[in-house]
Amino acid sequence: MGLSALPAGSREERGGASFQDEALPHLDAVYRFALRLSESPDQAEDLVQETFLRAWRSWDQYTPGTRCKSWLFTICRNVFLRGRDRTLRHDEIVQEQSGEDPRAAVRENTVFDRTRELDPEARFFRSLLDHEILHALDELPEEYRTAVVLSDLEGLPYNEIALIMEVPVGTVKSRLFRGRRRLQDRLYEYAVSMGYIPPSMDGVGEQP
Amino acid sequence: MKWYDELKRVLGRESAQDDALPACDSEAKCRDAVERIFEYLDGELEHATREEVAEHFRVCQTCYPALAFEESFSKALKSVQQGEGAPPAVRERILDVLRDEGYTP
Repeated sequence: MGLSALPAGSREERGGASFQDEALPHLDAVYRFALRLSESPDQAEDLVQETFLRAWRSWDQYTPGTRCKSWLFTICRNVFLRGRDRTLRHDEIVQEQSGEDPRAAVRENTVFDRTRELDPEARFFRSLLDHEILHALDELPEEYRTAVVLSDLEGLPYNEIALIMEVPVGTVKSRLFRGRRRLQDRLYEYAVSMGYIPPSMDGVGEQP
Repeated sequence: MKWYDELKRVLGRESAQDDALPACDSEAKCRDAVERIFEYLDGELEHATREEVAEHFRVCQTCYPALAFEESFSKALKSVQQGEGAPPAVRERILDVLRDEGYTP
């Protein structure tokens, strides 16, 4: 890239200090995000490294003070997606755009339906351990998982999530709704299997 | 089906079946509140709308259970501790790689 040819006062001089001040403080947050995307801690480490490398290489394209963490998350996710099987993602996108979730047709009752009699305040959610919730989260398709992670774990507003995921706000809302519903299903099934909650009266959710 | 249509369908069925609960005197308000349940919990509503929705959930026996459910779920999820962050060795490796690319703090 001919870095040595750049004039004094270039990225290396000005950039190093600002990169340290603005970008590097988010290393842990990017790592935690990478863990949710990746299949293993090793893969997550490679992803974080690649993310910061690309961020550094394009540091002069970043406008200082403009939500660096979101910018890094965008890079991280895009690096991840490019490395992933494209066929799978295409199938998921097609399914989403058609507006149909095949599983929704089979599932008539939501977890809310099934638990409101026995557990009106859905206390069973509180008996779940952190790693149990994260495990269920990691089973979601990436589009839903990322939306839920950015909203519920990172506390980002919809318009920020929309920028990171490069989709309209309406799509973010839809992914949050579907992602949370699927997560509730998984957590309910798990809670039943662990005995945190009895199976519902109509037999839905009972283990075979 | 839009995401909030699905939620409405669920709650509509519940209120029709359950005679013990007093019906809300404004179906339109129930519809609005239900459509906005996630936006409400995510803090995405403007102040006036937020107050309207909060008030509806306070008084409506039909809609309140749905809010209680989503709130419990939301709290459990938002309170998940994800862990410490990158191990020191990982951090060091990243700094090494950056330095190789001309990064100096």
